[in-house]
Amino acid sequence: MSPDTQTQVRWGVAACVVAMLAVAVIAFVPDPLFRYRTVTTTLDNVAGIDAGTPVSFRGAVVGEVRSVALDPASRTFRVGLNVRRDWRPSACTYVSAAAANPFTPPTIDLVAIEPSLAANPAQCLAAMDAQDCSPVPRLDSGPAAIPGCRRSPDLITSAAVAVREAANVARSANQMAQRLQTMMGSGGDGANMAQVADSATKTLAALNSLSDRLDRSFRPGQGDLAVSLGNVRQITGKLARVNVRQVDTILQNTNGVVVDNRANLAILIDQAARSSSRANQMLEGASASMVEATANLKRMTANLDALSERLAADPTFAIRGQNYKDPPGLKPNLEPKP
Amino acid sequence: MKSNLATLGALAIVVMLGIGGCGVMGKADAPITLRIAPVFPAAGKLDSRSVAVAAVDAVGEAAKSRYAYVDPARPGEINQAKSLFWEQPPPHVVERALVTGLRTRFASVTGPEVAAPANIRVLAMLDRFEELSAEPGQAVIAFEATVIDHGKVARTGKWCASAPFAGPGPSDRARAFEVALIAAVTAFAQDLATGAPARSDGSC
Repeated sequence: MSPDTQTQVRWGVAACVVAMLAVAVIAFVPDPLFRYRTVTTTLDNVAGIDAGTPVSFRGAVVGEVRSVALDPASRTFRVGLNVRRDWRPSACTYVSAAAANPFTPPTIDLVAIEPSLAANPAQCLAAMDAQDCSPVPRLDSGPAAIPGCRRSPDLITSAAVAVREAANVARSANQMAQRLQTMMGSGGDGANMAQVADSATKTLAALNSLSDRLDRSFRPGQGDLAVSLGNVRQITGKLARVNVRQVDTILQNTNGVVVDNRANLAILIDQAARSSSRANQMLEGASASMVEATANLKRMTANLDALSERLAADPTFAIRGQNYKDPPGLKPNLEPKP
Repeated sequence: MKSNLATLGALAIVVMLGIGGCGVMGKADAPITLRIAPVFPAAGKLDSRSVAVAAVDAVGEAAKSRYAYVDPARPGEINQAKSLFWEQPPPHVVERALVTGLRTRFASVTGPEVAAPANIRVLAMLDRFEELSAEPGQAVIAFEATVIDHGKVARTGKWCASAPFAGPGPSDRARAFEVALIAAVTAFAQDLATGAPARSDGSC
């Protein structure tokens, strides 16, 4: 026995309502199948980051930014991330947002340090510091709140600042070297020596900080322009640290330092000069890459400009094309040469 | 049934119009791509300084792959050929020629693809890379260059060269451009290596 017409209509309407509800859930609920869970982080700068920005973990996309909200009290941003459920943070996990720059799209990376490398919070902080992550004070707490690193400044701005600082450092290194040469020529005295050694400490510390900052700005995968300065930092940074220690020793033994340490001072002058020269060369290389990128952009803009001018003057140009003529006297080689 | 027939008829007309239109457009162009492969003769002892050649810049027609020519009667007008093209844009051709040419004079020469520090940096701007369609026609190449030595501008100047076509064919044209390019770049490399004063030839 089949149901009567009224029952059939009722069942039909109910089926339609259920189908519409299912469609509405799929269309309006962000994650209807519960494949993602939300974690939050705190960032100090969200230039270029908004809902939909991909979130990566060791090169694989594991989610995207869900929301960005300003916290008026701390002037930082609470950033919600939709992350795949099968991704699990380690006890020492942080969020790193690449430097904002006009050449690469913004990316957000989840970085998980393995427990063997960071067994407790202190080691975790040390590991983050070693990877140049300075955490932004967290707005939320709990397992779903992951600390975020302070964002490196804009690549071009940071490069401009670095160039300016490199010039200052080089100038001061030159002055220091000249001073030391004068003193070594005239025999020198303890008080001046201390002063010069102090300025050497400052100069080399500045070099160290400069290479650290350059390293942060140009790190591959975080807004680099095909220039990796990581190795430069390793070389320059290590040299600078060694030099600062040498200079500290000199400061502690001011008496007779000029007589006893002429050889050390010569090495110091040489190393300082080499460090600043390396920084200059490094910046010159980086600036060449930027000049090339700018030239390409300029060329592309000029071509687009010419095309738009052409189309504005004659909109049919795009369809008709251009009537070119070969140079006078051109005779194509029709017969292949034996 | 009637409406189906009308639709089919309209479709047939559209297809016939399309085929007819293609026929009216005539034969497609047969482009000829010209290749320049300059070979520089060895110049003796190499200078130990390192040289980095920056990306060569160019504006206007000199930057494009389409072959450009100028009628001496109307020197202010640059024409573009219908069927002749360069395999690579002229700025890139000059850039590679500078790298190859300077290697005959300097021990270590790199192009812009290597962002490495160097003692000398060469920044060049291509001015002319065109045919002068006189009788006989000739290839004209001119570029301006700035040389930066240890962070300071050490030399600026303009280098140019021309070479007559040996025949009317595209290959004769390519060979003439090759000869002109070798002459201009060799002169630049020689000036850079020997420190000779910059050339300012009025014919450039």
